[in-house]
Amino acid sequence: MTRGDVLAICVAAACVGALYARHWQPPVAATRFEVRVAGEPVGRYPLDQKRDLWVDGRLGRSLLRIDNGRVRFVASPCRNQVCVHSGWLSSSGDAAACLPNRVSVSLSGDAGAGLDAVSF
Amino acid sequence: MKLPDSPHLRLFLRRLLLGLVLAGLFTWLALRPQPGADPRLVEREFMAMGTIVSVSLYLDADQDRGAAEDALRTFERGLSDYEARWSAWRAGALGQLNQALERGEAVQIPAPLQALFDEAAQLSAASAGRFDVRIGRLVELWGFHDETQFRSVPPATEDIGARLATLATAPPLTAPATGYGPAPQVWFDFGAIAKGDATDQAVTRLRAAGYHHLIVNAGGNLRTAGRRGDRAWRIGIRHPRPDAEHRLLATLETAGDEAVITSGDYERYFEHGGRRYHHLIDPRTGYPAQGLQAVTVVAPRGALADAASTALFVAGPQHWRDVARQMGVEQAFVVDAAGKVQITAALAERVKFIDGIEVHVQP
Repeated sequence: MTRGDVLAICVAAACVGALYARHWQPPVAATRFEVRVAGEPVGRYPLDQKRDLWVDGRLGRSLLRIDNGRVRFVASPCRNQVCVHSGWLSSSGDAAACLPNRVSVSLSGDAGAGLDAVSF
Repeated sequence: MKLPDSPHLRLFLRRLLLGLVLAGLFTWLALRPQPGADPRLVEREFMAMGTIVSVSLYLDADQDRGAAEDALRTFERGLSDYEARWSAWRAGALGQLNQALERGEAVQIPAPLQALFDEAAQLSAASAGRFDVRIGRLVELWGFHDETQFRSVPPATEDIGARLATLATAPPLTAPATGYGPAPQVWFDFGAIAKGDATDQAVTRLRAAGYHHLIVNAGGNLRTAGRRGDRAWRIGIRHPRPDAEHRLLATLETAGDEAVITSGDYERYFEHGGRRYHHLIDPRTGYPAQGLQAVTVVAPRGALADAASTALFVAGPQHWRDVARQMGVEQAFVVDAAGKVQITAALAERVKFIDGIEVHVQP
């Protein structure tokens, strides 16, 4: 084996490692989510950025918080706060909605590795 | 082609070839179509029946995406008819029937409602009244009938007692349910069975339109048919008390006609005085059922799984197994107040729980 062969093997191994690191995910973790108002998509956002998001619904503005691969309703102009009770969502297939305000979020990830639906 | 004579040149060409093959392989790996963007998977999500409904179709190789999206839009319109028909509090078929009862009239059950009334009557009898569609007035008292009208304190004990007393003296619903009443205090609420039935209807309709592989998800009430290409559908079941690492309690795979329906105390509830008051009302006590956090039922049809998940929740940790048997449910599990799982043997073979869950198999 020559030095060239060793170099080729090292490069190949490094490429495999890099691809693994880049594309492998826990089986059910979501990577992005979609926001809808009254069923119509209004935006698609990654879960890996820390940010707050205001969404205009029928009654007013709902506040979504994205942090550490998760998203949740923080505030919403509804009386019962069911959406806020839903807490953090992080799995592919998860969803939460503020029905009075007609705002919903649904999470998705690499469907080949994750789940097709969640029963709750 | 004749190889060059120089050994250096031959070595160089060999390495060049290897390098090009490797570069090609990794380029393909990096650029290959992502599994999330499967062109044969068509999904549509909309709000109906007071929740999020989503449908995933897995197309056959010769089926067209555009046609599938049209079929789902048609289905969405049909679903709003279904919602209007079964809504207890609006002016559809069931709402009008309720208003006629309130006026003191005896009612005929309209033909489009007949089948589900019959099924509700049978399941109510099989569950010994733990599932009961006559409890609309109790649900109303608790404020769980309308997501914009939840209470934040429980109703007065006397009010609950009064509505229980009228329920106890009201005529039972019997199959075949052609007529009912007079029973002016009874208000029918099909909330514990209609979503499951809607998912059955969805499968029937979409199958008639030529789609045989699908999941219908009506607010976490799942109904599957067929498969997702070369594998089964993969279903997760929500953890009743999730934390950052444990969003899901279990997973299972389904192939063919199955409903997976979960009832939990976390779906609609309020807290008062340190206690949780949820929407799964025991028709015999008038209060939210105690002792369990969640129940999951797997059954061939959504209507059965929906009604059974409610009845088993109401039955509680001591009696759920017997009630399942009475209702013809073989596959179910319950999560008790301490987070421990009891599961039927038939379902235990199929479900994978996350680590750290204590699971007891019941014969």
